[in-house]
Amino acid sequence: MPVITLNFDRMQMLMGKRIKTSELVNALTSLGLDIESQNEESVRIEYSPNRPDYGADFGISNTLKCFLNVRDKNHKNFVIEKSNYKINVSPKVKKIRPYLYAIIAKSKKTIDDNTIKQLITMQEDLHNGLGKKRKKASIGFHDFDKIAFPLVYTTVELSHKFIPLGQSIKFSIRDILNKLSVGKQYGHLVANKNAPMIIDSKGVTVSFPPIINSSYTTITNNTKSILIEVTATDSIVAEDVLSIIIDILYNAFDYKFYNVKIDGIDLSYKFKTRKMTLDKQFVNDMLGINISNNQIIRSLKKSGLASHASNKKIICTIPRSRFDIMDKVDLVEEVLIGYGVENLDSQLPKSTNLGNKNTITKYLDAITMIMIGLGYTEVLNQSLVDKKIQYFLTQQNENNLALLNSINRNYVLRNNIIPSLLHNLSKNVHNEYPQKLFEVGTTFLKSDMIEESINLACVNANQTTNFTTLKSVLQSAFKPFDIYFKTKSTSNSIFSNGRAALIICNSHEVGIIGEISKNVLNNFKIRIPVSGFEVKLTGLLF
Amino acid sequence: MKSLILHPIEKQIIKALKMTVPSKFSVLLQKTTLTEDQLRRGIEWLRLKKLIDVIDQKEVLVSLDSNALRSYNENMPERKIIKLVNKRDYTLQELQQILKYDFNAAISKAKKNNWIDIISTKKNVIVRIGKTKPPNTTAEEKLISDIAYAKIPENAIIDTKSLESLKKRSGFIKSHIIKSKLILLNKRINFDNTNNENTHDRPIDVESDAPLLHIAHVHPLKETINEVRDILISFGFSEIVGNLTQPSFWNFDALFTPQNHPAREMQDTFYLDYVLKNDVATPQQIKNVSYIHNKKWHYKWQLSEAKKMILRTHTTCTTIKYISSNLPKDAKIFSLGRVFRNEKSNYKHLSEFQQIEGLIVGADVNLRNLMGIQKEFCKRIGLNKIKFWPTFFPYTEPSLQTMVYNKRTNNWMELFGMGIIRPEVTKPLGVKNKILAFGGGIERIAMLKYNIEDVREFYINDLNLLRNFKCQL
Repeated sequence: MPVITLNFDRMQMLMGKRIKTSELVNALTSLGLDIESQNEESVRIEYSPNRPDYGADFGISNTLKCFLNVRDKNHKNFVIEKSNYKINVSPKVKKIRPYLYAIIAKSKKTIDDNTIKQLITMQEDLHNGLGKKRKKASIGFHDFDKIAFPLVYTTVELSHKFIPLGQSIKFSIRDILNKLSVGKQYGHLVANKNAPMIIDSKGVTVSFPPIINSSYTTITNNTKSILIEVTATDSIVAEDVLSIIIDILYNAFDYKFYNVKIDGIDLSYKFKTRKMTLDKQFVNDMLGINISNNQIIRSLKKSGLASHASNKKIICTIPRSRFDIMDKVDLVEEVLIGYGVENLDSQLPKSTNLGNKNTITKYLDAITMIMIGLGYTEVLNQSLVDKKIQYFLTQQNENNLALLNSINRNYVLRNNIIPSLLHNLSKNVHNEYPQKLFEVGTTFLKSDMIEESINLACVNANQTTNFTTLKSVLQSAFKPFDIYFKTKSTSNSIFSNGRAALIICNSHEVGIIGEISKNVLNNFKIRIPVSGFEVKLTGLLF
Repeated sequence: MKSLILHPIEKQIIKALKMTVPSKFSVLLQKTTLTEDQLRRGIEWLRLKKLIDVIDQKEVLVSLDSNALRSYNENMPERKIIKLVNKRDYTLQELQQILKYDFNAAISKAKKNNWIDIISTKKNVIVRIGKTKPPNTTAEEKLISDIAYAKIPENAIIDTKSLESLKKRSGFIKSHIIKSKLILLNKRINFDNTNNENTHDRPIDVESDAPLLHIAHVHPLKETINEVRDILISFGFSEIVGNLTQPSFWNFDALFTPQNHPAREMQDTFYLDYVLKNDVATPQQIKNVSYIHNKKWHYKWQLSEAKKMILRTHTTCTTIKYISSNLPKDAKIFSLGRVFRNEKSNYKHLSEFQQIEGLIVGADVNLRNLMGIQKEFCKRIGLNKIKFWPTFFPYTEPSLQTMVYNKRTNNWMELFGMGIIRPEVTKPLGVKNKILAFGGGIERIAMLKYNIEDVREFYINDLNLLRNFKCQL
């Protein structure tokens, strides 16, 4: 989950009111934000991917102002003024990155460094989250006063040169793609021969989406008005992203927004609010409370949503930026946040169901108790085992059910448990013998389908242990289930020659038993004889 | 004196010591059936009990050095000269040439015993037989042949005079110092009854500690799993079990997780080298799930993606499948077992861990019921300080998390997540009533219970810990 750091001093400034740190932190958790760490000056919080507007501190303060009733501040739905600014989109970008949206945020005041920093952090989170690592959409912020409209969004050849953000000399597109880290990271998103480019009417390069902006139009603490452009391969994601930026800038600062016509078309209708109807009964049924329409409206307001009652129903106005609200249930959560979870009393369900343990669990519990009665200690190992333990030290063949993408390249799914138990013995050589261990666990194999089976495996490490010791354990353990085994001589890489047998039940092969070979014991650095067996419980007990 | 309770090892050692006191370690090793290690341990036990004394002993062994060995194989230098001059007189120069490096020793020893005379003439110096007749074997010669190639304790040699004189000759006697332990019974203790087989009719030390045994036991994490299961059953929940390998459909698609969701991407989920061949769900279920994804997430849902097999990332795939095939009007079910996340394991998180997850189905169930179950559950596992925070989960709305106060670390930690399952999940599966869901990791509960800070410890299976578990009620 994405993380953001909130500086307490700056939060006071954004809120426009002194609020105690403890009150602020409590309010953050009441909004559903997780506190990761906290010190004197700041708090680090995790925000959920469904609320990308919390990616900047001023996005969070917008909601906090409503939640804490700061000067009765309501969340406002933004207004976009008409204008004659234009960007023309060339058909040449169709196959590369076809969509472009832009908006101008005008102000008479300059933007401060901290706000720029927050804007850039949020931009990165939006790129990675909604933008799917810039593939679906990417954002550019530019100093409006340095740009000569109309702009053109077109493609250029790789020899095209401009000074990219953070550099002092001109780079060709080819050099940006080959030499700069952003170029190497995101270069695969743009076509090979031509690159998408936003260029102003004087021929000055504004942006090379989705890779890098030009140095010339960078926003600094001298910037007053900002051009925000979003280029995308998915138009809905582009609208989502832009609506969030507009909404939080609009509610946090004194920006006035101006439409930019794309190919002569005013697209601002795409950022209109929508209405959703909510029924009081629906809310009360879900939350198990009994609150009035007015209480629901007040709660929604605290969550930053405007609503009103009409014909006994509640009509909620949802800004374009709250696309996470898909269904009425999402509004119920907003009511809950505004109402306060702490105001809900816990209550056990009224229904009377009778609880029951699963039959398989009953069998596994029974065999576990029997093994303990025989003096064996239960161990638990993971199904994901180190390749070295599962195959190399035991000289077994590889499991044919492979993991396609394990982060830990050494992981394999175990097809039997004995290697894990030998590994346990090898980690316990300093402890007193005899060591008697068992495990009940799932193993995996692939045939026509994936075969999962639950096995019982056990080992006995002691100076006097041998085949017969373990055969006694095996036959005794299953006698209570009226299961009787025969053993049939076999050879196997884990066991000594002449000391290994298949376990047969009703002429079906259900497991293996034997004395672990000297070779395998050496591989595990175990210096005492070990015998063991493994038997498949699936199909045998249940 | 208290009577003695002895270990079989100790009994054997005392029995052997009674026959030969004092004994060396090597002797006891022969006289008992014990291994070196057992004998060493037994001696140490007896010594601590003050039943035996162990004395450090220094022993000197002597053996013949190179010159003495030559004398043993040939003759002593003085014997060589006698054999020569018995035949005729020799000049000094002649003898020097014949005897070489034995010359000086031969002349001085033979002269001292008056076995030879040395006469100076005008021309040269002549050696001839002396007044005393040499014995056939001298005491020194006897000692040399007694020692021969052996190492003999110095104190076993009776002829100390000859030994001392041989020691004075260079290259004749080598001394070896050997340190050893001498083990002897404590004389103040009566060992008569230690041999008695009928010890049961004699008083014993009933107050001393007896040796401890190792207890075979369920794994501590399994204890917690069993406890959690028992609590849920006592709340009226029934257990559902399911496979650890699951098609993506039931793990993700049925739970309204879009196919391009980050959690489904390769880095968070273990994908298996297998695509389901059978039907993943009923045609109606597939149609409904496909419809809701296309409509609400704005993309083209793919059946092939839903058939990819994975290691389950939660147990909800099992419970939701049960609900959708049985469609109960009201039910309480739970599932617990292993779930997988394709992340590197560290002290806080494992790539494979145990999860408990439960569903409550009913027409009039609500969020407060989830809080009620949580509160009661936490009370049963001994956590009384809890609170609820809103949070986000992809398939529940509203969603809460149970925060519990951790006394040790002095902060709030998340224990369970919960919420009401979204209509985008229930409607396509044909479920009319509400479904409440909750779930959490079991290791986290066990860590609080056993005061363990590194979650990986549960899977190390150190016998030192497993054998010394503490009963937790």
